Amino acid sequence: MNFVSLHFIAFTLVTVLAYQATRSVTARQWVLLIASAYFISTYMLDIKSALPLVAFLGLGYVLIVGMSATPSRVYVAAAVCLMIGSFLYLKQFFFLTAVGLPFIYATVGLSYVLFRIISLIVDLSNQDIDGKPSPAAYLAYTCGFTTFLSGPVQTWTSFKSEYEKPPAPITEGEVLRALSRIATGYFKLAIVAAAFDYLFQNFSVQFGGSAHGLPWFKTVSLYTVSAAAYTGYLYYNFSGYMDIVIGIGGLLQFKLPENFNRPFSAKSFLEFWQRWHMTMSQWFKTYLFTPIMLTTMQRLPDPKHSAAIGLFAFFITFLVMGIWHGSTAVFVVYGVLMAFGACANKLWQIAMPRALGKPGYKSLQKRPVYIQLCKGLTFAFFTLALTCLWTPEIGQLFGLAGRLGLSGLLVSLGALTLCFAAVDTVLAPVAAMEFNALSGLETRYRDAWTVSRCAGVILAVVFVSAILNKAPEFVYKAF
Amino acid sequence: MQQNEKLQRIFRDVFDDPTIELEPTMTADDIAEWDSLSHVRLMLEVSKAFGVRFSASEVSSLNNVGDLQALISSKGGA
Amino acid sequence: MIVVIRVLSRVILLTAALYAGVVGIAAFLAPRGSEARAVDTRTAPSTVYATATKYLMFMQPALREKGRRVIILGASNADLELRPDVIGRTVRCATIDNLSIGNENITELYQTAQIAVKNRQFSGDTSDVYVLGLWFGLFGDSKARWNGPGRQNNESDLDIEFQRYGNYRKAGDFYESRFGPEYESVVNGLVSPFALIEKVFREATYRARNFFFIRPDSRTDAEREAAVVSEAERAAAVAYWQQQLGSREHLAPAQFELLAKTIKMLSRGRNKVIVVDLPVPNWWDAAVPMNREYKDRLAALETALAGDDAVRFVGLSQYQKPENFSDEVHAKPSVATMIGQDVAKAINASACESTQQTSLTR
Repeated sequence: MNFVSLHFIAFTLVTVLAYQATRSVTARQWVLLIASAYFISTYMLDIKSALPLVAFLGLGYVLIVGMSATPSRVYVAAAVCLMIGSFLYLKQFFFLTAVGLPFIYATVGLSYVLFRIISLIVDLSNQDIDGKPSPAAYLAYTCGFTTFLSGPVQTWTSFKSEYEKPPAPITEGEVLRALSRIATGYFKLAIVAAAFDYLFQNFSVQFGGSAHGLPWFKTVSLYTVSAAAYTGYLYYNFSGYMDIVIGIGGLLQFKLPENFNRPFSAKSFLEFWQRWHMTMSQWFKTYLFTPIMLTTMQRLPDPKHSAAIGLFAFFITFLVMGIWHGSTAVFVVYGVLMAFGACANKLWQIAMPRALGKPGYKSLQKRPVYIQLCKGLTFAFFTLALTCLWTPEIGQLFGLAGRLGLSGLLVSLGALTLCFAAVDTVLAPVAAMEFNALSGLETRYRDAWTVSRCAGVILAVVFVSAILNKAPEFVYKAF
Repeated sequence: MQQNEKLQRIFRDVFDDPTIELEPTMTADDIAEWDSLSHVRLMLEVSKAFGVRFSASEVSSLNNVGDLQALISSKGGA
Repeated sequence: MIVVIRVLSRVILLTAALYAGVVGIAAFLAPRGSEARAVDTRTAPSTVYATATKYLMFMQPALREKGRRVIILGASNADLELRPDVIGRTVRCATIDNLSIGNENITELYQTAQIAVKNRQFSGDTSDVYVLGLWFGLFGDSKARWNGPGRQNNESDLDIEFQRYGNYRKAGDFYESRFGPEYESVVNGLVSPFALIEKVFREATYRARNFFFIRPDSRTDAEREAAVVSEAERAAAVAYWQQQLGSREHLAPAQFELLAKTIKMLSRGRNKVIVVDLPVPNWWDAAVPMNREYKDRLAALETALAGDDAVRFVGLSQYQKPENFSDEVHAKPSVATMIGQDVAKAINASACESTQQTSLTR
């Protein structure tokens, strides 16, 4: 179901009205379940194509229900490995393409279902959760339509409190805030991201394919601009989608966690991942990074090993996080780049205080030029690494890298760093001023402004979609 | 030793800063060296000192010192 | 629930009001089909409709006016070489319309012919002259010509345009207004803001798009008159057209069948059809076999239609010298005028002299 379609608008409207029409918690839970089942069914070709998802969910529930009150580590490890193995099989990772199921099936949303099932298994085993979920609650948690496609990855505790809370009458303020958030989401998704995609398509076609006779400098320039355009497209597409689902959650009075917090204001690669796709980062931090750290530090308790352990944990976590994005070899490269970025960042954070002394490093970190260059380099590295997401074949990726050469990649990195730093220096204060001006508006003007903004966005989305002659797709549902 | 004093001593040891004064609202933003690595080391030291065990979920989900103090108390840490 | 409905109603009402405002602006700025005397797709970029296909869709009412018409169909070379103002100097007994659309194949030419025929039916029994400007580049298979994103069924540019705003629906093998012809102008008026917004967007980004993305043929007439096509340009043109036609050696037979069907449709009643074999540089004969194939098939079609007085074939082989062309298919401006004048004489002989009509009024 395309988010920029009358079908989705009608579906959301019917669901919200049905949900708000009842004051019964059980009735509201049923509305969510039925709506989610319908939403997911629109991604399925037929009943057969839904069977793998049903089996995956069933396996997860059996493993959860089968867990004793104090399960052994072997059981927990086996359960997690079984779920991951099933996931790798269904997503046809690498060599598993040779032994796939003999029919077409949908894997949309499977990654996020896996996250939720693993978190349930681990948290239950650690007694971080009281009581096992009922089948209905389990399905609503793993397959809720607002978070099914690409998150946010909500913890069971947070979900349960929203799922079971007694209904309260929705206020006009809540509706306006939710609509405002949805309008922001559609503006980002259908206009800003679509504009970046337009730029990306038109720039990237000029150096791809048969355009191999281009001069080196032109190839590097076109590549740099294309890569930057793709980053803009990805960010506004994904964060726009998040705004829409969080806004819909608002209309359902169902609070969802944020997934983005101004990621391009990050002053380091590690900070970037605390601001970009936050719920996924948090999940990997909780269920991979921290267990690796805890286990290894317990075995090697001497503090002088901390740095090495940290680098090891970062490397594994980011490598897995990168590979998670896709089932082909190019995503291994992406994972390696992510891991390299995290480790390089950590090494810098360890080395600089030693080189400059703690006060010297603290002083350097406060200098505006240093801050802007760090932001620029973070953006530049992430942008170049994202090349893996738009060159799906590894041969193409290496071919492109060969044409650019190391010098081309460095020129690209440098240009992106400096341009971003310069643009951010100008735009960041402007954005802050705008935000302050808006939050100063009186409530009645703010409400009128919200209604006007929503109306304006509806028209703008309709016009831009017609101009570009396509409704924008949500890119992250492919991961 | 009171729980707060014990905890403060652990913070000063882990972050190598004898001037740290704990407040319940204190977060990682208030201590420069408090990053994801030192956070895990901190939790291990707290775990050893108070004789409690933290799950990975608990280690990752603490928002401030107040949350940590409450968690230690809930696990009967002494 | 009531709260949600109340707030949504305010948003929808304001949206409708803003849209009505844009409809008003578009109605003020857009040329009205019912007020135009003639249709000329070449003027599209200077109107709010911007593109030939959008212009043709919205300007259909102009074709419904009573009175005799000469309607030109073809691609960009027909657009250049069969200019209404040139033809109109000789042909005085009819209004000259140009429905040429650049880059089309016979499939899209057939669709344009359907637009003409369907709209001319509104003016009763007609005795129009349809002029088809052909060359071998029109005979590529639609699967090769119309593919890519959004063209799952090999939709032509006209299909895309008619499907874009929802104001038309498929009826048979072409389109009719969604709520019937009586509401067509209202519905088209309601969707005209899209054309306005697209035009504003195109104008605002024209310079940027030309600089960064496209390299249009922005040569002046003087530059086209002086142009000499190099060997490298010829080779590039050959590669380009082989890709456009979907074959290195053959044209699509189905396109010739469709041409025959088009001619039959257009020559019904008292209408006439003039099939003009527009000239291309003679180096094409050595470069690809398709030009020869096209001429042979066209000759066979001419033979098959020899007994039909309503159909006439016009050749222009005297203009095939390479120095007459500014690129691989388009004649230089001075040569284009001569071609237009020659075709005008043929139209005049078929349409005006044969009926002794010397003016548009009957």
